[in-house]
Amino acid sequence: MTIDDQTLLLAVGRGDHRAFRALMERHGAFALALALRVCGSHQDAEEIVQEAFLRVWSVAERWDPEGGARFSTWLYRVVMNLCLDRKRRPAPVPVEDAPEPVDCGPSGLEHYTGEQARLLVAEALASLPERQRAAMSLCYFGEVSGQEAADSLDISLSALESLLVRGRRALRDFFARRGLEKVGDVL
Amino acid sequence: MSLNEFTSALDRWGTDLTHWPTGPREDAASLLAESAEARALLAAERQLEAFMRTNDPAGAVDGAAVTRLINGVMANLPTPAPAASRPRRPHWLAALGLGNEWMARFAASMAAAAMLGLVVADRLVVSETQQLSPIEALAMAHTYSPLEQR
Repeated sequence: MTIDDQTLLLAVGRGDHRAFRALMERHGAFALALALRVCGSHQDAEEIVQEAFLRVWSVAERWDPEGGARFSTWLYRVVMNLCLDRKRRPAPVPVEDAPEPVDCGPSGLEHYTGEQARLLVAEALASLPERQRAAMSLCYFGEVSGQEAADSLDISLSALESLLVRGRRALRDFFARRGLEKVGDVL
Repeated sequence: MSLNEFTSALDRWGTDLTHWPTGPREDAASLLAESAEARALLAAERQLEAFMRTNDPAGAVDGAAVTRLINGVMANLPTPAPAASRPRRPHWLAALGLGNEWMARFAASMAAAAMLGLVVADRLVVSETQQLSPIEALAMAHTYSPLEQR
């Protein structure tokens, strides 16, 4: 039998470690994925999600199950805010983490496979303004509904759609600038 | 629905037409049935989505990353646990931003005030005794009243 998030949170509020582990096992992977898409750094993503769950632990006692808020929505919001806060802090990129430059000429397209393709997608996401990147990270990969994404970002559904419209256009522009109008070229 | 409207709708709601509102979805279905250009647009956009999803940087998040996360969080939990052993602070103190340090200061001030009160009260009693009239002093000197002796 699956125990719902609200029940787990009530147990966490009483100091139940097993319930807390269950909550992290359920939501940890997506929270990490979200942080990774927005931040682009594994280390930052892990630190951010760790901090988010430590906040869960400290507020669980005061969580109001009658408040109507979904735990996942609240968690995504905390992760997003922590990501955006961290992105605003300037941080030098270690040389070993910097992606290798890719030959973008027509003859270089076939190189976008495996790790290079992942770096290209990460770069495409990183090129978006932060609010668009946050909206795309939540919705574009098909895991979160529009309404929950809007709630997580604390904006209206129409404002979210506006971010997604601009985000998709910016992605197309990103690939077009690299001579990749036909994404099929790199598949 | 024009091709431009179709492109805007694709940007707004994505390539999964089942997620579109009913009206635009039906209009798009009609357009796709008759326009090769619309079908090409949809196919290109789906290719882009597929490329992005296949190479999602978050694909690197695996079970080991989640285990690392859980271990990291559990190792950094503040002790003692939230509700189990931590005394609850009154909401009005928390709302005012007054913490345990403020509580300690308040308790020390109360204790000091109580001590001062005892000393002052003691001095006041002595003072009253000194101001008794001779008759009152005589009456106070007798342990029992005459009524009790009868």
